[in-house]
Amino acid sequence: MARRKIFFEIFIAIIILSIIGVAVYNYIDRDNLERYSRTELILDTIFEVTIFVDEEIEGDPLVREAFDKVRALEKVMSRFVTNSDVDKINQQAGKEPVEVDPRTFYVIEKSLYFGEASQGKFDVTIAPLLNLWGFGTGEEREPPEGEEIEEVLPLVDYQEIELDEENMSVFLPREEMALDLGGIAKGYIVDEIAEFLEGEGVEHGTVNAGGDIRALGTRLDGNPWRIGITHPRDRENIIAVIPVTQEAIVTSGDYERYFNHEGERYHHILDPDTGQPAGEVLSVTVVAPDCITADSLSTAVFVLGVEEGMALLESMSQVEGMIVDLQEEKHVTRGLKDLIEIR
Amino acid sequence: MFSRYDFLIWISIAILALGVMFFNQQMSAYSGEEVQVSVNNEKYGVFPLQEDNVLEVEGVNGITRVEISDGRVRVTHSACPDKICIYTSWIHRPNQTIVCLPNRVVVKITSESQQDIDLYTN
Amino acid sequence: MHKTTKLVYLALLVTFAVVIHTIESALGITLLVPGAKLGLANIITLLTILLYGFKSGMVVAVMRCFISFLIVGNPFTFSLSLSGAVFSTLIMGLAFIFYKKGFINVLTISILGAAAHNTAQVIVASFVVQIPYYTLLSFYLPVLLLIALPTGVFTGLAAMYLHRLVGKNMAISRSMGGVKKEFTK
Repeated sequence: MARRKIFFEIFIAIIILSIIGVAVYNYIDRDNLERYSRTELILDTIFEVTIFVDEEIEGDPLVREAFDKVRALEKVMSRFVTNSDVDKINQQAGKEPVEVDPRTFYVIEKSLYFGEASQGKFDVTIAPLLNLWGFGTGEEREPPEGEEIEEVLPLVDYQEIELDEENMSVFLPREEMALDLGGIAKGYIVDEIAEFLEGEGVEHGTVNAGGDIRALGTRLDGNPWRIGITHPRDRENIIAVIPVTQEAIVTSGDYERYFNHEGERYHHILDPDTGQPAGEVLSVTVVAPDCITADSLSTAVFVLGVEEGMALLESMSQVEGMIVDLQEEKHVTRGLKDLIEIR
Repeated sequence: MFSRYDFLIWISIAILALGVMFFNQQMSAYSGEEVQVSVNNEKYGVFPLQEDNVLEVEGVNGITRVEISDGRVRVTHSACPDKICIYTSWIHRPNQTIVCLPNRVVVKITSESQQDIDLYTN
Repeated sequence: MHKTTKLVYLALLVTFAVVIHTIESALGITLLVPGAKLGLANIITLLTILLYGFKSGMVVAVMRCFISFLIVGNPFTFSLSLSGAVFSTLIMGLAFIFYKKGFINVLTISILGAAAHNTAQVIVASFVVQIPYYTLLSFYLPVLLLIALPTGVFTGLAAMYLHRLVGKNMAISRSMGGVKKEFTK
């Protein structure tokens, strides 16, 4: 009898101890990782890097180095920075080919690929049209006249860009042509930073350039990062949540940059064929393995509209997405349907 | 072997510890939310989200007025041409931001605890 | 006769404690949070208290810390282990009184010792590494108290079985003098 009693007591003790064990385990993070985060206004947007690293990696210098890289890439790829590669290409348009950084070359090559894939709806030579509309300068103004647009439209054609792989040079054949990598460079820079951090041994983190997001690994608790998609009209709320792991997610919307004129709203995503703001959808969200793909495709699909856009998203492997049309109806690709949480 | 004093001591240690833990988690869940304001990448200040407040933030071009009310934040006035920060309207969830690019002002809601949503894409 | 035998056994116990202590710190096993250890050396302290009472237990604990300091030579670890050892031995000595009266068992002594050990270590660590006291009280202490339960049970069980085992040794039980009625139960 006494022995049975002892067993009973040991049994009770084990149960109590395991409950305590579980409580302690849940209370403390699985890994003893430190969070480092930094936010800067850069690249014409808000750039945020957050990483979770253990004590062996010094987080602060790593995040600072990441931002140094962002600044360096901005100096190469922004068309508003004097003497950047893009600025030089635009200055020398119609005159002579410009030798560029291999990274710039790669981004332009990629942009031509996405131009092809989207039947020309994604076009990096759209700068003259953007200048005409006056986006990017931040000032309110009247929309341009139809004639003015007609004059500029022939200048917008990505197929005329001449790339010379041997000399790493880029040439725009006509003087008034100009490049704008705004729709793709941000994604590329996010990728570069994410891959740099991965190379330094970061397993959990996020790189976020004003909504162009690339997630490293998972959350600390092992679950996917949960990304909220802001409602395109009711900005205070979210329209859906998409869980992502080791993926990039980008949303393009008509509310990011726009101006109003006589009750009409003019936003910054222009159709290279008509020269007018694309008007078929409210917002496009693309999930892809890398941010350069997600960034350029979100712009392209926005211009393509619901039907052709969905077809493009479905046709590309490992790419998923959601389109919100003018009736606020959500169109979700097949691969995303089971994952997305519509709010 | 085990007397009631044993169990009393064991359980009181466990309850004490678990109680403090529970209290902590409740505390961090409720009071962790703050409004972080920065100007030109420099920290400007941190303000509790639950305290109504109107901030006159000196940006690079002029004043950006930030209103904290009922656990929500918005920009009501800003010295910038595009007014995107004002159109962003209210934010109330941790990790949401309002950005005024021309005036270099960033308003962000932060929280110590794990949130349902980690990041927002617009 | 008794005194010399007791002295020899105490010296042996100190040796065991030093070896266990050194091995444990060399292995660097930390449970979940920094500062939480299995506290294997507590087994010996507790065993000493059970065999020879509180004073001898304190001697073994303090000696163990000093000798380990000579081996490992880290003043920070020394201050941590000394404070933990002294405080936990004090508490265990107090609990031992109630144990002798039959109110509590060995496991509970051990748990109280482990809890005291962790508490003292956290407090001393906060002086040295400047953890804000709020984090200390709110985050570390409850965790360490909870961890003290399983580690205390573990060291307590070990001490209990060791006690039963060595209690059968005639030389030891003779060196103990009075307190030996325990094994007849």
